Amino acid sequence: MDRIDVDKIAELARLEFSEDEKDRISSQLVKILDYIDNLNEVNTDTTSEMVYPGETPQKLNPEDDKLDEFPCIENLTSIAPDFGEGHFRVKKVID
Amino acid sequence: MPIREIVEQIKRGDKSCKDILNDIFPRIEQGHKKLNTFITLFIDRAMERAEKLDKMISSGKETGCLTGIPVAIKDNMLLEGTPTTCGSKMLENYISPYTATAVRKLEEAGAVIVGKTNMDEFAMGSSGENSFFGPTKNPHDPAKIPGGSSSGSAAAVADGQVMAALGSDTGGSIRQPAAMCGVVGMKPTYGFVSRYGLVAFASSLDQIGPFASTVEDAALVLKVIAGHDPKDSTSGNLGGWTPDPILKLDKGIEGRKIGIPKEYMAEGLSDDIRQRIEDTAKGLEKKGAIIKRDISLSLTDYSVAVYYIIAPAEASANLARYDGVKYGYRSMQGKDLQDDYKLSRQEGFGDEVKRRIMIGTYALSSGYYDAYYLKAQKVRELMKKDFMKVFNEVDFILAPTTPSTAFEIGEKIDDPLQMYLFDIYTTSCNLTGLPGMSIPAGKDSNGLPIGIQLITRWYNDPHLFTLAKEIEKIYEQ
Repeated sequence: MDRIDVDKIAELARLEFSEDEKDRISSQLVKILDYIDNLNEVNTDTTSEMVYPGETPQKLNPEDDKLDEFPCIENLTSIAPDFGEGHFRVKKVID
Repeated sequence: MPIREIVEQIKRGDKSCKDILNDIFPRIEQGHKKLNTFITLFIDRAMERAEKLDKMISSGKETGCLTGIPVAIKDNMLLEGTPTTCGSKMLENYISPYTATAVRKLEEAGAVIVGKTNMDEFAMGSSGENSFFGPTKNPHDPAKIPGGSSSGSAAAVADGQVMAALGSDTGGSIRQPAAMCGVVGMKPTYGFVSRYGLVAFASSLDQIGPFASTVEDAALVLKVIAGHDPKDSTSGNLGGWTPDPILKLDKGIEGRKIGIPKEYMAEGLSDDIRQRIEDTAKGLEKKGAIIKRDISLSLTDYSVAVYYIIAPAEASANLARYDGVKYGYRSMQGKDLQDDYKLSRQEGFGDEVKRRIMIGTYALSSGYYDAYYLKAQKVRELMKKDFMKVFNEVDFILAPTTPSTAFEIGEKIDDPLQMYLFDIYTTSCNLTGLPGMSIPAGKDSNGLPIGIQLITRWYNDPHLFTLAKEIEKIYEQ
């Protein structure tokens, strides 16, 4: 692998790199992904993917899935960069 | 002195909780100055807790098994009203809106939380060098790394600043700093401890666990924080039963089978650590254990590759929430909302976090998902079957925790892949959900701590402490 499309991946990840940073991160990622390619040595033709990282699959109890009131909404709104009139405020998205 | 005995002294009235704190505060202040162990200290809050506990004791009220014990928690666990920064500029000013279940249980047991410890940013790192608030240093040699990502918790316990601490382990982030700092550190079975209130890095890998100076103390802390939690849907539900880590502590290991995987003892492991594993095995044989030196975990060489697809993939999803809207850092430079997202994240995250988000985004992107993420999850399932086969032959695995003892701060910082390869012995436990512990096993020829790792079957955590206790006795002698 020579290069990855840093611009495309950064767009998906909502990150933005300078030109120097793009070169550096591209070469680092190529090296890491080249190493990771060794997984192709493992035959997984008849294997299904892991569902739960343990021995016993979780049995979810529907009774545990209760709707609770969050005890103090102020704890959530007071830490927002811009909260007012009952909303988290952002720059406008519609012209 | 064991935590249990200190608590007995406090409950008898020989010492007060305030006495304990007043004795330990100078140590915390000096130690933190030298080693950068904490991100936030809350001495006043701790003192108020201690006074409240002292009043409860003097009025005859029942208090818990950690009454008055100064503890620290890694700064990725929420404690209502206190900052939780995750070692990142992104959350530098974030105040926890609620308390994590494991942290609540510590306080209900009477522990006194003195502060939030330093860590690699968003738990991404194995050295303790990736914090926005500067690196933590190793108490045994401040020029060396303490290990990560629970760097501050390990160093604070090793330096005697606190008697126990909580860390989190996603690929070795409790066990590695425990090994580097010469303390006990344990990652429980996945699901044994609730993740509610633990800031997510990789949700199928993260677990909270204890640090302590002794096996008994670590077992006591785990007993307090463990158990099913309906607020965490991945929390193990064993029908009302929670394995008790204290129960089997002194049962001995006569007749127990312990395997040393040959792949873990191959090239790349330091001679000092290899010899220490062999010395430990001989010591355990004298205690009646049966050592099998030829067990095989044939997929060991692929564990780093599997981990560095799955963990970044899950991280890229979990860290998508940091967009500067509801909490966290918001850039002032953006001209529109999309700019706000990108600049907030670019400015708010450090290099390692951005690197892992990029790897994870790539692995999950259209056209690459099957080749990377799906492939890694299948190899992960094969790794689990590998361990299940081995646990038909043995009860425990004895292994190194790290390929070498602590290296110099700055030594591997420019080569991310070299740093990732340091996780070779620890990532398998997270990928398979198995419990693993690192316990101190003396020092190397340079005087740096060696940690050795013990692994067992799912939910066999109490017996892991049994084995650890026997090894602790070997090195006490």
